[in-house]
Amino acid sequence: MAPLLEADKVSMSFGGVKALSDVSFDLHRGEILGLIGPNGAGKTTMFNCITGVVPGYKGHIRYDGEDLRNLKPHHRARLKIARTFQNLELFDELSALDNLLLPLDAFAPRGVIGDLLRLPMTVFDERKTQDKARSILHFLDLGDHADTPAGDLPVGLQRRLEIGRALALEPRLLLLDEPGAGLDARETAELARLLATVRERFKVTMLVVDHDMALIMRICNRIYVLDYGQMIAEGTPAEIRDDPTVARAYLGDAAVAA
Amino acid sequence: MLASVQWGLLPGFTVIGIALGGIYALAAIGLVLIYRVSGVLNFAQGAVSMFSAFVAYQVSIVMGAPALVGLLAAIGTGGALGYIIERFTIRPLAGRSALNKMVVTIGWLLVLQTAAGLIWKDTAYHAAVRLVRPSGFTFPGTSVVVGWDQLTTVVVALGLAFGTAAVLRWTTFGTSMRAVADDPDAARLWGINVNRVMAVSWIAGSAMGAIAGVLITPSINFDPISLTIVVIDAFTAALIGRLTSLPWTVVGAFFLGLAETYPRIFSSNAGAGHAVTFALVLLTLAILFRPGARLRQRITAGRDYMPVPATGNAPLRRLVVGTALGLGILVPLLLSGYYQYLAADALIVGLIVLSLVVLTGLVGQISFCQYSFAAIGAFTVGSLVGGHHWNFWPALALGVVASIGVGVLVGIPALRLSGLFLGILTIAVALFFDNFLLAPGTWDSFSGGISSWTVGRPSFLGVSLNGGYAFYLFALGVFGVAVLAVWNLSRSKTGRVLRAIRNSEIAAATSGVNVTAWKLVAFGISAGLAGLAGGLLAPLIGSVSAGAYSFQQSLTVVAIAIVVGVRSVAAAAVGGIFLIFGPELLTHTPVSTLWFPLIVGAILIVQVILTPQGVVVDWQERLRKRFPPGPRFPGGSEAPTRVLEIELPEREVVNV
Ligand SMILES: Nc1ncnc2c1ncn2[C@@H]1O[C@H](COP(=O)(O)OP(=O)(O)O)[C@@H](O)[C@H]1O
Ligand SMILES: [Mg+2]
Repeated sequence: MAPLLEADKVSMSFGGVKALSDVSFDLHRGEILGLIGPNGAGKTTMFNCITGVVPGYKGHIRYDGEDLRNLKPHHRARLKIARTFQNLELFDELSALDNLLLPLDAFAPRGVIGDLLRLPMTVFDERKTQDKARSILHFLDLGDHADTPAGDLPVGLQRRLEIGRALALEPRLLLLDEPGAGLDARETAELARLLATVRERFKVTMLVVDHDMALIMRICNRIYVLDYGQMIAEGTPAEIRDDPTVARAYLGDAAVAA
Repeated sequence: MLASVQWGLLPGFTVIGIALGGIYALAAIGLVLIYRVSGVLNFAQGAVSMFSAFVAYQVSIVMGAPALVGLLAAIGTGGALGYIIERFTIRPLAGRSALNKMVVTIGWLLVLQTAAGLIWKDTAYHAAVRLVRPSGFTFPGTSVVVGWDQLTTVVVALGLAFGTAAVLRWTTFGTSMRAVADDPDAARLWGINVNRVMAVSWIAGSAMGAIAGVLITPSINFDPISLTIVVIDAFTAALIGRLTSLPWTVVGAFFLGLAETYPRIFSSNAGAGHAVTFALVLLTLAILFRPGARLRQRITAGRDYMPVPATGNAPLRRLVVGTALGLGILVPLLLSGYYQYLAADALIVGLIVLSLVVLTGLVGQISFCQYSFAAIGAFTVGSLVGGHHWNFWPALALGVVASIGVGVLVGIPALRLSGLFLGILTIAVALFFDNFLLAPGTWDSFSGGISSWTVGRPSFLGVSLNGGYAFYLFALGVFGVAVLAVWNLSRSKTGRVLRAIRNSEIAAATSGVNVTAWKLVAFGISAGLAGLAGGLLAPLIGSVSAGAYSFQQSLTVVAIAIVVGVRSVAAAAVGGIFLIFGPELLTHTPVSTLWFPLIVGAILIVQVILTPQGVVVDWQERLRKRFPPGPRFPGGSEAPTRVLEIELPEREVVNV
């Protein structure tokens, strides 16, 4: 069977900056794949290409064997590709619950006319959707914060809520951009547990970017390493840990020699 | 038509076009300087120029001082206004969004424009302050006459533009200005006095505006309004310069001047030039915002988000709404016919405020052309009922549909724009309507040669709406249904999706929301509400004429919507009442109704600084604190089912 996601010589440049050059990788069903690399390596750009938020990459990104090139971000969401953002893009004004409702709303058959008139069908469907959102909220242990505006939550809970919003899409592919950024040791441990549960309960394939090596090594089956837009290594956590090129990319030549 | 093209006019029109370009360049230089350094798009720039030019008029024409003294007085006034605006109304907004600051400058626009109208009269003829004799010389080798004043304008424009560019580039102070423009926080760390640099840029930019104002007066209608809206042409020129490059702004200005002048060779329609401006605004915005183009847009640190309350206190809300409705039905019974008319007017204008609640309150898009959408409704009803003897109801329906269509059309170029740039686009739309679409003559062919129609009052379900109270009740019914519908929208999927788009387009899109479609839906609903209001104003007033739907009206309604609070449907009623009964109240005071926009502008400025959410929303918050709502989901905070308790392998020690 074809991999769930297949990047084939993807390149992207901004002005003179080559953010990605001929990056290829495969992501198989059920896998948790790590993507690591120093700041500015192009990890977020890769996510942006996969989700279609920056148009105009070269190369091919195939999902379930289908080229994503001509699909808009919301079409890709419809194919059940969900993501979180490095710099948290929650709907700050909306309550935590409404944040989770949004992806569900986006697919709901309710339209403007029904909303205007508040037809019984609309209200019924809305209740059903709310129940679903609330169960995700409880799953994330955020039940107490249902009515809190997302912007008022502490960062740790915001990160969790963002994962919840991605899960509300019932994704087949989940892209997590530095889910551990800004979390303390305890929150990171909870995150690792959460991701393990998510894989089990939601049967979702994941691509995770993070700088927390402990986290990545612990949850990922395989790891790819990006540096200056190029894929410099690929392997199991153990292989990556012992790879001198990777250490050099992170710490510089001097550190390796020392 | 082409038969009447007079190519012989070409050289003459070239001179006129270049002179016009000089005027636009003058107006744009200060704008660009202020935008570059402080990140504020100063909508009051034209008003500052105008006010300063009137000071020169006062000194030189009324008091008889030499023109040069008048010019100096104008420069002093401009600089002082720039300082006051920056020091007392922009600086307190540090850290707030660019849109907030822009709204303050709109307040200043209203204040200065109204003040000038009160002092020097809106309509009266004003003799221009002439610094140079209008006579000129014949361009060598041709028969084209170039006026000394035209030459002066162009030379001063070039001098100021390149002088400013040189100061920015080669002086120490210019370097600090550029540093502040790039990153105020970093500049502060470098020991630059950011406040002083900002103040100087506002003073200098406004003083240049004053020079522009004085030089412009001989060439355009010297009245408070015409001069103020020269700013839209200045915006267009500045956009061609990407709002940052002074030389390109000057090039843009000359291009614009010529592009507006040449159509007059082909067409006698005076509005043709404005149509060109409109096209150019669209074109420049399209080029600037093509995918991948990076416009240097200053991003201010502050994100001012207002949490959307999960729910109000329902019994309290029912009580307030019920009381308001009861009073709304009963009180006008006791009023005279005139006040019943005003009350109906207030409700219909309330629909226009409501249209902004949808567009600005939910999606966060600003629009200065709501009255243009209303005009579509009014003109459709007017021409069909008044000109073609249609029944009122189908005409109204068609009017609403037409305005929805136009709203969506305006929404399409607006898709890529936000905040300031959308503001510019909608102003261009409003002026295009004012000067071209609604200008006498445009609708003649459609209506059989009449351009002002009488529209009688219809009957509704067999009941004649001729009486003042009957029509009022009808308006109340329409308003109530519209408010209920918008309230329904705002608390269901549509409301959530639109708010989500305002908070983060990118997250909305990756959550499966078709952002484009939903923005157009919002534009459509908003324009439809405004069009409905226009269609109802026609039978209320009894006739349709263009003056009632001008850009000025749109500007005032935006100001009022922001003052009362654009996030709340309740604001619509309050806004409508304020807009109609405010001036009425003034007739009972020593202050004339003409003061109304000034008062609105002043309240707007204070408002944005003190309670940016708006008055009504502020009250609602207080009430909500006083009478807190019950839990939204009874039992919602019961012991959560813990599911995150899976054993994990020992944490590996990793040292990369
Ligand atoms: N929208 C953009 N415009 C211009 N440059 C960008 C944009 N997005 C990313 N870049 C550049 O691409 C490079 C890779 O950035 P990014 O993908 O964010 O790295 P990472 O996520 O690995 O830290 C950086 O040099 C960054 O400056
Ligand atoms: Mg990144």
